[in-house]
Amino acid sequence: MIMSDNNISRRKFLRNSALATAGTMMIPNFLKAFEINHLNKKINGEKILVIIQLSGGNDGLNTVIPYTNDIYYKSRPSIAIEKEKILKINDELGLNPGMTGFKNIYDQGLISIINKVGYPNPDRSHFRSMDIWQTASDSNQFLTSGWVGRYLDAACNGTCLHPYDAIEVDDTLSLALKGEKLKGMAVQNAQKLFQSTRDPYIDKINKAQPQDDSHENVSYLYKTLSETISSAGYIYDKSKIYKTKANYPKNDIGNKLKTVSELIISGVETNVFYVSISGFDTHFAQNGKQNDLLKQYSDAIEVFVNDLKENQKLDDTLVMTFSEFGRRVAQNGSNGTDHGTANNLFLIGGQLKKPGLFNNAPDLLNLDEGDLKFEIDFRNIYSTLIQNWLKTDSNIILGKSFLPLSLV
Amino acid sequence: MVELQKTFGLKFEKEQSQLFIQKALGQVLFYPPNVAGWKEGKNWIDSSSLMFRLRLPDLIFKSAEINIQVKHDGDVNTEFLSKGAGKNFNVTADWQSFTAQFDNVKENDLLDALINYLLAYKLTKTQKELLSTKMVKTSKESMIKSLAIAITELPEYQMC
Repeated sequence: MIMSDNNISRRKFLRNSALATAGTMMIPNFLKAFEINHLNKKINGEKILVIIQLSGGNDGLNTVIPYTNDIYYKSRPSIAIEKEKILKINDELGLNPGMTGFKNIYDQGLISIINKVGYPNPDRSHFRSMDIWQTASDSNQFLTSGWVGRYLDAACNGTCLHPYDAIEVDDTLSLALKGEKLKGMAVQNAQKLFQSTRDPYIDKINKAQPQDDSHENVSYLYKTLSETISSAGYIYDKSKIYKTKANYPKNDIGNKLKTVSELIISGVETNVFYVSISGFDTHFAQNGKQNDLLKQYSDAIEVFVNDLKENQKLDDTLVMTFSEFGRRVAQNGSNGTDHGTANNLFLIGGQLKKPGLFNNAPDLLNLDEGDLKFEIDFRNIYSTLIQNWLKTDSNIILGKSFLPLSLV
Repeated sequence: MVELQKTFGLKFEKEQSQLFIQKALGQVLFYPPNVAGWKEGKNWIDSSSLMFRLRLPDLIFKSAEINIQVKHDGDVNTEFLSKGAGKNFNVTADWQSFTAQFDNVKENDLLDALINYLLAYKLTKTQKELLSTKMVKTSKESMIKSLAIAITELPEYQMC
């Protein structure tokens, strides 16, 4: 009796210490069986977070438009949206005319619009500001890991070992999904990924991998290779379970959300999906371009939400849409807008605490050198998603305490 | 990538191709993935960058078709960076200079000589056997070429 107890604790000890010291970099072969035990288990129940990144700095003021504000029209003589065309959501704010689909789900109480989201000392470079949003750093702080990646590190605590716990629907992986120990996985197309990992030579290289772990970096590469091959197989098998009949727009965002929906409804054990679309850097001739992009986003989101709803997945799914910054209040000389600061952010799902407008419209009289002032730090929103939705301690992931908001 | 280029004297017809490769690997030279700069060691390696890296010799030496896209970074002025390099890279390698270095090596010793030349690690017997199956034996030059390409596709080579 005592002997077997000792054996168990010794085994536990070995396992825990091996994982604690080596992280997931080197998993001794005798622990591979342990990895199998954790297959088919989503790390945090059934809740799913979908993040949509609008790259380039979406112009928030022509997205959620203060259509009764004279300053808006005076600041943008040639690019302000005509009042009659705006999709009104109250007596102050309305949506871009392209966003009819978005408006339909907004009217059903499935969207929270959060205004004036940003961070102190905003950076107006795409590159740097995207970095800040993806790593959840301060604006004078430089981090090399992303917040979703660190969520994987923290949530798993060294025990879940699947890159597909967080999937980016793309061919390359964003910094947001790269943790210190664990990384998410980029999957643009499950079948294509599967085929690329079934290349006969790559398969043989994997099978012929050296069994000694003396070169840490080489072991890490082989571990990544093995995981990629097994994860690609898992995702491909799962992805065959459900093919949606919903009519997604045939464009970048439509295709990506279709993939996400099929993976969710098929029951892939993934907690976080990441999607990005580009083209929002509208310095020149903004309106045609932005209206078109917003329409694509809005149409795709409407189909996505209805698809999830019909499959009873909407209550388990939360979508966050953000952009690295908003744009300046005044238009520039090229019928466009230049890089600004605070912006609106959208949460979409079936379990929102405060659907509709979460807070007031930005104050156009009280600007910071022509830019909107932020009122809500984006990390308070991340903290809410991590704590209240993904049920994980946000302090470790965000490096300090950001109070959750009453969003979900 | 730099290593591959130096070792085989690669010349790309379009500069675009190199930018595309660097972007796919998350390693744009004048444009690190993060202002914090390069993290030592493993940070660039994730499943997609590793798969791309292992396929790169096929793309470069065998004109295999490029089947991935790289992300826009948001800036309208650098969108060209992520526009594809076309369906294939047009790239030439200086095989003459490369093979000349093995003039004095006997055919039977080529595999070991190439492993020593290209890798900082020793390979196992199983790995060497696998490499041997990739050898094209029509001439000494073809033997060197086929083995060198097979070696550059190993994870061990990606640490160089």
